[in-house]
Amino acid sequence: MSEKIFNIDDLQNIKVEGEKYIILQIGPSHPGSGHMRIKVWLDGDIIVKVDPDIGFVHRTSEWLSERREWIKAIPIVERIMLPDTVHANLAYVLAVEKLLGIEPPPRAQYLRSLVAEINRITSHLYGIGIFGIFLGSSTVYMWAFGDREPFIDLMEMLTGARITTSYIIPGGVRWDIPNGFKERAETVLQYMERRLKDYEDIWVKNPVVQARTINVGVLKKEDAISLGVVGPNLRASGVYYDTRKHQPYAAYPNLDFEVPTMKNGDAYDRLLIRVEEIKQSIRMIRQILKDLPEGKIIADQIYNQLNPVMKKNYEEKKRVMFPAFMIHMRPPPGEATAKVEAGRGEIFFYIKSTGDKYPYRFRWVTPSFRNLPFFTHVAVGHRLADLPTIYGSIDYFPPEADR
Amino acid sequence: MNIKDELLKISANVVIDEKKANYKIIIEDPVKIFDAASSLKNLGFDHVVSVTGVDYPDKVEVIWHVSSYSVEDLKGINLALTLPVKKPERVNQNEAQGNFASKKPPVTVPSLVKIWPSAIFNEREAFEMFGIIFEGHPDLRYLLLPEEFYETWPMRKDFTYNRVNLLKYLRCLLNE
Repeated sequence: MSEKIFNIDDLQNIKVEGEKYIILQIGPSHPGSGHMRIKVWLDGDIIVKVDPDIGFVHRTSEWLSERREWIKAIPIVERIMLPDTVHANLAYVLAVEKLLGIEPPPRAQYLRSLVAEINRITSHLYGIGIFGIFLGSSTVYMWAFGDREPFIDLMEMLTGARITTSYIIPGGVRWDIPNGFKERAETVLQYMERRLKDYEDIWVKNPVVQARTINVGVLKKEDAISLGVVGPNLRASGVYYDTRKHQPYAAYPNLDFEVPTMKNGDAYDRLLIRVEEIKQSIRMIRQILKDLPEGKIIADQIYNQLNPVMKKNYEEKKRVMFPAFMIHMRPPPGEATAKVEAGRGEIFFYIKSTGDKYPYRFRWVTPSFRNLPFFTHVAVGHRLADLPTIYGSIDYFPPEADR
Repeated sequence: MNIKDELLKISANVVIDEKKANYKIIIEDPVKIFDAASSLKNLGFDHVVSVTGVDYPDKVEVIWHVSSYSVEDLKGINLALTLPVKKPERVNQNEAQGNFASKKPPVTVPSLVKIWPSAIFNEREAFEMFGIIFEGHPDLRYLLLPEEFYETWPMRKDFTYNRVNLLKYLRCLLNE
């Protein structure tokens, strides 16, 4: 276990030459590491040094987005963060809206929060399922992936697509809430609450799980702050920080929710915090469906650009079709930053416009990329058998880190 | 604490957009960047969100986006620490013919990893994409790019690639 505080000089000071250490390469095509390679130096079976080698699924999303019209970046960022598509979409649109100076109407804000919270539950269930298979429990893996389905069906009902929804556009959202959605959502939420009790019995309070995760992969509060860890992993170490509270966006200023934090910062706390966040998301979805305001789902600046056929379509089917403005969009010169709390942590966007057809600089940082220090720091001092536990507990997603 | 006054003590060149909670400090002299970063850390900006470059025809702007986890007042602020660096002239035109993409000289700035350890992977990415050499970085290696892109700095605006040479290069790899 790493008792001392992280020091940047340690990277140079570790002497790993000579015959004493075994160098083990885990990945890049290994079920325990996904599309990345973890290079591990071992003394016996104690980990001495870890070097994460990423980039095997680098898809040049920044380069591509700088050479396309503004609206075409939405599908690109979605396909990078597949379990978290709505948040990537939302973060980019928030940055573009800051440049354009458009404020979406309240109903659109609530619908954005609704779809984001549904997506957060699917993302956490994905993480819990992967953690389960890493610890050798196929049951939880099957359960979690099965229980994702009702929520994905909800997304399909609302947006027309299961995963890559492209639901949020500058100025609002694309579809209004369909008939029967509220009743269906309530059924799904009640089902999930029942299932959470089952998860606690078979998985969360299971002595085998506790024995393998408690005091494994401890990240102290000071280290979590200095290493810039994000999301549930940060809050499991006891830092009270959530972008939804501290830099509110969408409907979050109006919603009543808590930010759960833990004390120990070990793998077990990182599991517990995901379960707690699912409970908070269920609470928020209920509030949103109860308080959903009436009105338009698209800002007036965009609505006025619709042609008569599109307006008729909007009134009858509650569907926003793309006006020509979207493809010829030229935001005024300037720069904008946006932060969004995704399932795995905080997405950061920095966009610079020169008033041109394409973005001049398109920079984004994903939560998995910022969670990389876990490998270099937290795994050191553990046995090799604990590496899958640590890897699974941080909910790392290689395509998201490589971008 | 009035954040604006504190920032003005560090540098006279401060751009503030209160509405969007965006703050920007511009440091012209690379020598002063280390002191500026230290004083920001003492204020409470304890981690780096992103390190990136913005490429212009004559300069590269290096931006450290920092934020705070520990000070309650600063949690809502996105601060950009900006350092514009002039690009060096291209010395040897003939050297550019060998690789499939033309080689350009890198720029050099001080690394802030000693102050903010969270910048370690971000600075590696900015190095390979923009050709920004961070002096004092303990582990400045390529992170995302494969080796045929070495020293091509693909995120710069004048990046072009010669497809014929790229194919030749890939064929060489296959023959090995």
